[in-house]
Amino acid sequence: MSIQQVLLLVFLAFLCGRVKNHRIRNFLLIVSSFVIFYRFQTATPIFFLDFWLPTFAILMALTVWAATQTSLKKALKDNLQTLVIALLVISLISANRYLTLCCITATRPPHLWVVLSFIVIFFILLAVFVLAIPHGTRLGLLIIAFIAIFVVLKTPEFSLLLSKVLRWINQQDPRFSSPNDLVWLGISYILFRLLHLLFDSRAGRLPPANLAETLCYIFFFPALVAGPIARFPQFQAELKKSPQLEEVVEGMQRVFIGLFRKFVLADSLALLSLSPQNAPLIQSSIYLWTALLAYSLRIYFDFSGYTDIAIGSARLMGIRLPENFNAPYLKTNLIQFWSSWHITLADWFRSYVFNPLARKLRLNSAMPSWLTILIPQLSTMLLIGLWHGISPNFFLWGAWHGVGLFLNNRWTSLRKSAPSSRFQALQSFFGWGLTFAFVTLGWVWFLMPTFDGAIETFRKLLGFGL
Amino acid sequence: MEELLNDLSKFIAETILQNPSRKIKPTEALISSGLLDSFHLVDLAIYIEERFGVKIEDTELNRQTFDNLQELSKIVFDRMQGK
Repeated sequence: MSIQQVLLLVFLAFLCGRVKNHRIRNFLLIVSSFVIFYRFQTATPIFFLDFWLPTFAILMALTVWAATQTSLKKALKDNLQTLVIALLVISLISANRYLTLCCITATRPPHLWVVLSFIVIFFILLAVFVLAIPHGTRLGLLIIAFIAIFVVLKTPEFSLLLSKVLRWINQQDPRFSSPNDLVWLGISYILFRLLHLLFDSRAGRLPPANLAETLCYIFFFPALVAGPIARFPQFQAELKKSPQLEEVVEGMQRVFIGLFRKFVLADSLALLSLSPQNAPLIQSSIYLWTALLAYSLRIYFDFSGYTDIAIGSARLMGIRLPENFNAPYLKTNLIQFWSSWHITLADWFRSYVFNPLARKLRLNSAMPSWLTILIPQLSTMLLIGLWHGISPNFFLWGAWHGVGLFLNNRWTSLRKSAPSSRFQALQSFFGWGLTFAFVTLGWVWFLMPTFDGAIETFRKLLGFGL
Repeated sequence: MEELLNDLSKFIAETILQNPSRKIKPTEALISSGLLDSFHLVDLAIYIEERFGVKIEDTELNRQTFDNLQELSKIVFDRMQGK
């Protein structure tokens, strides 16, 4: 995100916050979020894809909303205005191609008749899907479909295949295909919000929601690019609140903190940071440690800076988003680190993977206790790793933290019965150093694309092979 | 409610923290302070279900739903009353 883009976010957020009427504010939020989505989606070499990717995401959201309804006919009647606004925005963005002042999208969008035909076909299929398939089954099918989409987008081999198919449809040369052709803005967050709605609707936990609230939740523009992933009931409650003027001051303060972290601290550290390109060239162990430390701090300031901008912008319109970081690098053990790093993603995985799995295993008295701890911990961390991309480096990064958390758990369990030490402060300091070193070394797996590259970096950090 | 709170407090101190002399205040932060980790929360949910017949969902084992004994006791109490 550039500074201009941040300023646009802040301006739109301030504008939305000044609208007192909730209904109109939600409509304005939807329009702003869609425009931001199309505007921020980068160009790809495949024709019209920068238009189609946001459009598909919006249609997926409409599918989820329709699929969660018990009476589609009544729901459509009650939400017709929102639906018309959503489709009007898509049509106007497509019609933008006929104006001299073109375009909101990165490249010229497809013809309006193509878009409208596509939308008509989509609605016919959606009606058949919702009316013909029972509620529970259709939600289950959508969960499988979205996980499949996620896997395809996150696996370079599958993305390459999809790129070839899309190029073939567009009559473009498939020899130039690349997995990078399918860079889809914010899709990891959008899919996880959609899955949250589907899981909770299936379990009967989702509160009744209209289409406007659902679209605001999924595409809420301050959190579109990099989260956080709020939970729907909390977000819905925030949407119903009236913004207060003093929140503008708090919001702006938070945005400035974010700008400083992202554009001053993170971008300066980027000049020193370790990267797959410079790692093989560095021949000094001390310089390598410095570069790794710079990377460790940079990734934190970069991500937490974006989160500050998102939380601050949301506050400008009186909406409180959940925190994503809580001083993670100051924690004295790995368990605490994972309660304060990318909190909303970790909470998502706790809710839908870790807790159900751990509960099932803990109730199984035949299984040894240590295994009921290792299995959920390791599988959750592997999935968190693979959420970043389905490749060996993210798998290894997840495994590193999964094993680390298991060892941390065992150590804590062992220490419980030990008398409290007089050297508490020293222990805490040692715990902090160990945790920080473990997390920082773990970034080597995260950033080096190959196993051999990571091992070579570890060797050089220890002074071998220089 | 008082009894319920004491029961949960005793379970956390004796079984989870293995420190019977530890007194947990009703408003003391349990999750955000790091006192209870993810496994403790799962064990706590299993205990509540077995002891009081009340289910705390997997999606509720987080600081947004409860972060101290007072909040947790209220959830369990309300559910026991069928609210």
